[in-house]
Amino acid sequence: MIVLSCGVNDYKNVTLSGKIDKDIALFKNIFSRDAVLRTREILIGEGLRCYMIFMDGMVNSAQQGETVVEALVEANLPNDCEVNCKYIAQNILFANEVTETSKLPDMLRAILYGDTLLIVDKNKTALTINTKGWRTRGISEPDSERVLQGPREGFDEAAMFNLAMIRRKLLTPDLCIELMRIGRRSDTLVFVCYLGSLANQNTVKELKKRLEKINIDGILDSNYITENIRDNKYSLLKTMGSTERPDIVAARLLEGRIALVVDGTPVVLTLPYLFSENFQSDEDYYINFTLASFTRALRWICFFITVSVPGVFVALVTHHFDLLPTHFALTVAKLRVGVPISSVIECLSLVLAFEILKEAGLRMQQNLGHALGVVGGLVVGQAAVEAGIISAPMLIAVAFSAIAGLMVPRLMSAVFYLRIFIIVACAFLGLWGFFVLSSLFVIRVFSLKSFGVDYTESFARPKFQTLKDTFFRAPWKFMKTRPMFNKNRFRKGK
Amino acid sequence: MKKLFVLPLICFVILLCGCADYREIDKGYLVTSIGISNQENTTSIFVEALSSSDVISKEITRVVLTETGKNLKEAYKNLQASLVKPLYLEQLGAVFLENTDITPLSEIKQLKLDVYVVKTNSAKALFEGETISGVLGYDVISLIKTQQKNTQNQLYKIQNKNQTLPTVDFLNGKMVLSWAKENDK
Repeated sequence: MIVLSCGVNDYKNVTLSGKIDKDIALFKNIFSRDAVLRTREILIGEGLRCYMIFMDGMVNSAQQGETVVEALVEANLPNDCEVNCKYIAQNILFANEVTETSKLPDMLRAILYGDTLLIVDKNKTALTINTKGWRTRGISEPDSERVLQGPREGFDEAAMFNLAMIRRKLLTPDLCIELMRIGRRSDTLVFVCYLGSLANQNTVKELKKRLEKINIDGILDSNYITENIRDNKYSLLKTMGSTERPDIVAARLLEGRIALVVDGTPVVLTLPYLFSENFQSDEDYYINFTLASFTRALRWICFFITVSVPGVFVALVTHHFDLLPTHFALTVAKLRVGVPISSVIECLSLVLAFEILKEAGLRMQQNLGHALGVVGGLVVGQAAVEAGIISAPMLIAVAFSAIAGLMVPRLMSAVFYLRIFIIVACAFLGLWGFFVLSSLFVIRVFSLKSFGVDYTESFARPKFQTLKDTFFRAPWKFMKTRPMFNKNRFRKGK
Repeated sequence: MKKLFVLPLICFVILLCGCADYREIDKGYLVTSIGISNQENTTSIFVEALSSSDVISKEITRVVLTETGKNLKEAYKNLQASLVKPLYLEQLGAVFLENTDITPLSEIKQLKLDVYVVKTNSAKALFEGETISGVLGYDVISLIKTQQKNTQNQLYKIQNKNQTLPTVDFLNGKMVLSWAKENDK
């Protein structure tokens, strides 16, 4: 009989019979279409039958041989007491983690996650033995969050190792790690991490509530979760943080935030997320505050430049010639002669071309990516200007805007759309369009929330302590308080 | 459901404005100075403009355009009608008045308020004469700013039509800007 199911929870009403032939048939039936399931019968002592069930490639064979097979084969059973799972776990197995369970979903999970399941004749329970041995990528510096100074380690795809990396930075029993399983078919492990004394428990409850509501086949990356639980689902702006660096997660936890570690992805989510976090870099805290403050301010300026420069330039050359210095106006006019497309189409095309180059460069091998940048940016750009397809000032404006955009990578998607909207608004209404759209954007940003916390909380009541880590990075001496959403605001308190 | 209609509505409202006042900077004459001459019930208009229409050489060329009419409005209208490209007044630096006060200037709607208004005895001679930098309007502005005696001749600063304005003319082939004496005001 083939049992069709979508997840391990479908078997919650099934139990072991205690008859080993029947039970092993059950497992073989469940995994009847799985070619990598392995079973091995072992006789303990003078004839107690047991079966090891595991997935090939998921277990550490050497560890399994030493801690399970060797122990079972060489075991001598006593005559004076009943041998059951509990006895085997306590007296025979060498494995460091052995759990007895009577629930079939837990047994299936163990098999699927690289553990060895041991079912014993005449027992309605089974033992799950930790023999996980799947390969991981290992610790490496994340490409998207490189630093010149500071820790170089990044998460990999195994949640347990990621949790260990966080734990290594926060050696405190206050670190709470709660397990949830999400995904009807993938049954992905999701860990909710927070510091019990700092995190707002209402936010933790709200997060768990939202996680429980997720109804999806599988979670293959943390973004599956982000899109399901974030506030303002259709907003261009991130309302949940993401990082691949354990030091950032630890720092966020120390601010009273909550981290979501999802198995199978190196991207860890943090929440609540504030608008000012888009402009923060982990390196800001590893270098001198003067330089960090300068680069922080530069990021804010670059955000303004990247969204506004192409639009404002279009507004100036199509609506407000009077605002251009005369010689510049003449130069622009001179260099635009012969360009077959209007300024606004020219600008939109260049923005699109840059996005194509960027996307193509990201997907290429690293060496080819550089070549693509040189050919696309320099050669094609220069040729297009010389051919009179585009004008040099517009190319400079868009290129400058694009380079400035790289300073705020966390706002990349928002910046792209905002830039396009501003260009269109400026083409229609000139600088009025720019101011109207900018105002709408500011209103929108101030209306956003992240798990009940105002997205622009730092700016709501501007004081030194609330702004100390926004436009600039104050010295640690003055970092006296945690963010306002925190229940324990004073860093030097308990 | 309401949200579904908001975006098209906003787009529709924006589209209603029909790219209001959308122009391409290279598709018109950038006017740098205007001369107005009023003689025997005929108004002549002289327009100095920079044109970037030369596709082959891609050079900026200075052109002087003239037209006449019963009044300034008609002369300006006739001038616009005779051109293949529109006149952009955003870079206008100076207006020269011959035998007239500032009253007719209100007939040109797009005129900037910060333009310098200067009197002249012969607008025709001024526009046909040799300039210093190549652009008459900017020569005059340079002269005004260099002498720094009085900058009350910008259109929005002029108190009334009888206000004394500086005069510019060619004397012995040289452009000379003269200011009225303080007690002449």
